[in-house]
Amino acid sequence: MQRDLPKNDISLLILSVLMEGNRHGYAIAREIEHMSSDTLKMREGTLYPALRILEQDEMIESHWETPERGPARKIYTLTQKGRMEQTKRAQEWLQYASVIGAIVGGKRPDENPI
Amino acid sequence: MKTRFENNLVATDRVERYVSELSRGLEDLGETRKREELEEIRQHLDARVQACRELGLDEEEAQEEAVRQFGSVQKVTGGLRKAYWREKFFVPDTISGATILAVVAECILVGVLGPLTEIIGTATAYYSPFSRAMPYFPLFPFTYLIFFMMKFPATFLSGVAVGWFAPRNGVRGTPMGHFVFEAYHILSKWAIISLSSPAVAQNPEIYLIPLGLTVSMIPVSVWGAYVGRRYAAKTASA
Repeated sequence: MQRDLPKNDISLLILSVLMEGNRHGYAIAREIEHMSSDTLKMREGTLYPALRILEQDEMIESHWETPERGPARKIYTLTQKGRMEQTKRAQEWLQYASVIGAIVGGKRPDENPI
Repeated sequence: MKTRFENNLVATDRVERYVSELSRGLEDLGETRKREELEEIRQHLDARVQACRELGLDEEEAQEEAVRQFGSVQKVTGGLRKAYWREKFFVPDTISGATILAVVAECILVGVLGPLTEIIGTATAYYSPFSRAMPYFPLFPFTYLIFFMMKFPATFLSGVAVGWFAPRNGVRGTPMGHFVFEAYHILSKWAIISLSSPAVAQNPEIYLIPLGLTVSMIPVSVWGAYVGRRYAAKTASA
């Protein structure tokens, strides 16, 4: 099964990937695909506007890094504000997923599993 | 069958054509920002092409796949331009954002303080000896003193608000916002007086005095922005 990634979820996924460590744009895209076992596909060009907005909102920071080999690359780092936002939004998302999952699965969210 | 050299030419053309199209769509970002965006995108595409090659695609197919996967030129440039203009105008911590914020802050504060000073002004104009001290303004007795009374706290508080929300640009954005607000104020006054009393509208003093007061308020707005910035820094470090 493959699904297109909804536009609004990209920023949360970016924040989640950056929780694991600093990365450049291409690595973030690959990591999202890898972590979702290639289930989530996105047009990679949508990544950069989302990165810009996260930068504007001070969730992430970027700087150009020159490796020993190859050209300089723009590396993205999570800020403290971004870390807190990721935690908050991840909790909200999990709660939402559990409610939808319960309804789709025919169980109330507060029902104890058997 | 194409030679490796021919393949490279086709592939290079495909990526270069795509980047050129992106470049045309990003004209309004300014040269430095545009160059930086394109450099990052080019590196992304190069890495993607390399990955596709490793999967066994030939050069042409690899480049085609990289471009396809990246998305349409319109969507990519649209997204980047939208983010750019958001930063330029709507994120408070830019000069234009700080200016807009300052205008809004002035409007709110004058909106709140305005009616209050009108009441004070009317009372003072009727009951104070100062009402006779300003013969130049028969239509607005005592207006400018009231205006000053209202402007001082309003300007200072709007400066604090802007310095708080736009700590890096509030000090520059606040006087600019203040001027935009005042320009509107003076123009609207000119329009109203021109319609009601054209002869009075030709008297430059009714514009010069508020303009002078506006200029004198610049240190107040900058002071407010400094205070707001200091509080923002304290809050951030707490």
